[in-house]
Amino acid sequence: MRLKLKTLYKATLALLALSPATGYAGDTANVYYGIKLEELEYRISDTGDDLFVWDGNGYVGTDELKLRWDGDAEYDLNAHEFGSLSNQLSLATPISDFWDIKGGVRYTSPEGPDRWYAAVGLYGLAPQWFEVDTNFYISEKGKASADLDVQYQVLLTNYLILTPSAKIDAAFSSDPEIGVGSGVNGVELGLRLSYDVLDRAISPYIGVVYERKFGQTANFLQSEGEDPAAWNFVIGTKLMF
Amino acid sequence: MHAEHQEEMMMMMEHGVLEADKINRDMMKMDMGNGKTMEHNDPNSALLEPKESAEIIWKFADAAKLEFACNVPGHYASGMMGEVHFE
Amino acid sequence: MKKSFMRTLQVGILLAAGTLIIPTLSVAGTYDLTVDRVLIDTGNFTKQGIGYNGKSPGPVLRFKEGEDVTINVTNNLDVSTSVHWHGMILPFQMDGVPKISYPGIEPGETFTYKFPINQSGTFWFHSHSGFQEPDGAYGSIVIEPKNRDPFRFDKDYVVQFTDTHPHSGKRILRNLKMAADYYNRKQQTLGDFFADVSKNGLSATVSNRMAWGDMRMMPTDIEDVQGFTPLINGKGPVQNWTGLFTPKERIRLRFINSSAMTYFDVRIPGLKMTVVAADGNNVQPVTVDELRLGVAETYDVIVRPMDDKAYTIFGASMGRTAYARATLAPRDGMVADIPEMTESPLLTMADMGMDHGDMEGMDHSTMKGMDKGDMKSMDHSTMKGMDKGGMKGMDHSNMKSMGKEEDNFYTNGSGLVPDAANGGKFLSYADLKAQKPLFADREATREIELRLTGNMERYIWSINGVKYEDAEPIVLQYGERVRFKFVNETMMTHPMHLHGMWSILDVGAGKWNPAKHTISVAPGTTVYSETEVDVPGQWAFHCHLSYHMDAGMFRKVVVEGGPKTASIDLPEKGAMQ
Repeated sequence: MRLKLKTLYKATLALLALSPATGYAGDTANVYYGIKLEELEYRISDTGDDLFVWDGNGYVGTDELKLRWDGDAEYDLNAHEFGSLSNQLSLATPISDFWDIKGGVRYTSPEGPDRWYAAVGLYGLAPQWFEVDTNFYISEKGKASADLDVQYQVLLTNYLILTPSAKIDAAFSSDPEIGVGSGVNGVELGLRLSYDVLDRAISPYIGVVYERKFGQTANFLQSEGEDPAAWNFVIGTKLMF
Repeated sequence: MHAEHQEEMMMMMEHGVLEADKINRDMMKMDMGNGKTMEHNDPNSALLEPKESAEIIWKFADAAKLEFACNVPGHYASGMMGEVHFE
Repeated sequence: MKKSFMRTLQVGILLAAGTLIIPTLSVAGTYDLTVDRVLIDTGNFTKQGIGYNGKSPGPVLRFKEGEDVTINVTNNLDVSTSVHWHGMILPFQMDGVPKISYPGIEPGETFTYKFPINQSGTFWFHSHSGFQEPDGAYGSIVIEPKNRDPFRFDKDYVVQFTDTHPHSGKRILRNLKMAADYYNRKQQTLGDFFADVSKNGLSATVSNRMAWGDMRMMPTDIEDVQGFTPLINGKGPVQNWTGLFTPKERIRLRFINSSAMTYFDVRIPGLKMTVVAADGNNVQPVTVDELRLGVAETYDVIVRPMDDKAYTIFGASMGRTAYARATLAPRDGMVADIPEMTESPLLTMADMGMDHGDMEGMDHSTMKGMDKGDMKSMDHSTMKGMDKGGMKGMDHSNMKSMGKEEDNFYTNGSGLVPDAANGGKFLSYADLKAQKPLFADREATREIELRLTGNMERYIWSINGVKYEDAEPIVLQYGERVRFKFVNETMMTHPMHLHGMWSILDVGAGKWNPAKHTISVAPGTTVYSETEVDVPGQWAFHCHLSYHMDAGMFRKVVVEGGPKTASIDLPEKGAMQ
């Protein structure tokens, strides 16, 4: 499984490294690419955890068809292991002025058992400038789950930006092997204050994140002696290239 | 003097008395209702359509420095003017 | 004795040739251009760019009407290039658009352009390949007329504007695709929100923000690409290009906007400007305090400074994010005050076009909350009445207000309507009337509607909802007179440029409608232009904002019929040497 993941990584990198020339292409479609990391941060929690976290996406493609990567991870700096690690590779296409659908595969490979999922999702800009990214998954074990990620930007100035965010995970059936219970099993609320130091490419931030697990998922955690709720102080940077 | 005249000509232009290539003389009688006229009947000026010509005769008793000009909007500013000196 | 006779003879022949008294004598000039990598120093930053003959901007090419020019263009870059002669009427193979006129000029190659000069005035040239033009590949063209111009001037200066950006064109478009607001640093902030609350009340401000948020559009979206340094003749505001004069001289300023994206509102505090030409063609002179120089447009103005002092040529960008500055002075080193930029405009709901599909949810109560007081009076019937044809029947009593508050080339209630900074006269398209019409006035043979469309959030730009790569060419018949109806359904202003043929802008002046090469279409407006289809071949037709053009607001125009139809097949190598 690890090997496969590496192959996947390599394929993704190769595609991104192609960095196709845009420019006045005349009668052929322009190809664009970009990488956005909304979160690349160090977290200290009130439960004593030290974490390194990222969450982002990237794409290469035309206006009509994109190959898109979504990935996120939580690396425990004390235990030296991934609490979570997810990579998703999809094809995405616009379905309306502000929305794209995506379909592809997701692979999670944290410490413990790995999972493959078939994934479909929807992302875009909702009225009143809410950035939304949502996915529906069916795992190789036949378990269905979903997540929703919503973000908003409050411009304190044109450079100093406050970003509230909310992430919700839900499962339609439990998968105890990987510690997932059914129902809404996790919520993460964040508030980050960033400053654009180099265009919008590098925007360091500080912030707070509240994480809470619910139901069975919380029970699974508690049985391992972990706290289902945690406050985190975060420091990191947004990246966009 | 030119400034005032230019204002009159501007009015004539705006009201269609003057077009780029012709003069609608029948409109020159139009009552402006504010004491202003568009008759363009000062004895020291002439109003010409393309290819027309006219004569103005001036008599000078004393030495003078004068400016002559076309006051159709924009014409003075684009250089349709000159100076005469009488010694 | 003999020598001076020879000189007289030479002058005589030149004069004769210039005025074509002896038609057998024609002037022929050969010019050489190299396309080079250059360094561009804006005074604020230095960047790698592209220039001509080792410099950006390139040289002023001075031609004479009636001349047959030969221009050798050598490509010293490591990528393909091209040179387009903007506004020039010439055989289409000489027009310099890769894949439409010719294949382009490969690295190391020299392409020889040969064409007759049958026009006079102010024009410019630029690369039509990739983002070479925003990267610095532009220069100017000054064509001396066969006969004297109907205005007088003692000094003659090209005043060429551009918006040099620290990022390469390629990177700018990629960034815009990632985030359409990447370069917009004029967005409304929390502070603006509170300022508006104290001015207009909470509910009005909230409903205003909701109305825009509902559309997912920004009233500040006037300049897509900010962060540039405006240059005049290659000099930034600090470097201060200076043109010298002796008081009471008449100076002809040839304003050219070679910007990738930026409109400039140009004024010279203390001087009136008499506009004598637009896009190279003489217009009936009109004296103004300020004018808006659209991307790719040119205006020639005459100014006459009477005093022994310096004057600032000031060009504030339309979105007021930066200004260009140069100086007219009796002696080098003299400067005048740099004025403040006037307030940044905000787009209004009127600029959004009002009849978009997205707009259905908007009710009039939200309209009340608009910042612009004049919005309240807007009703849909006046919008419909925007048709320029209606201008003819205009009541004379309205005439006085023309050009100051009302300008029919902006939609009723538009936030973009320009006001002269000194409260004086701002040039409107409606003021432009041909000095000598190029074509006999006649009824158009047909109308072609071009809706200017786009999706700001995705940074997709198109015509009739179709991007260039997916579009069929526009087919015109040789000999017809086409009436183009531009309907701007976007919130951006688009300078539409048809190659190879004049666009006779309908300002409601009948046979005096001016012939232009670039027609600026403001948001939410419908503008008409007519084209006498008098040349065969295939041509480009596009929005001249570099990133809109590249993103798809572009069409190929094919003229069918006429002489030499067979030559429409692209020559494999052109006149390549």
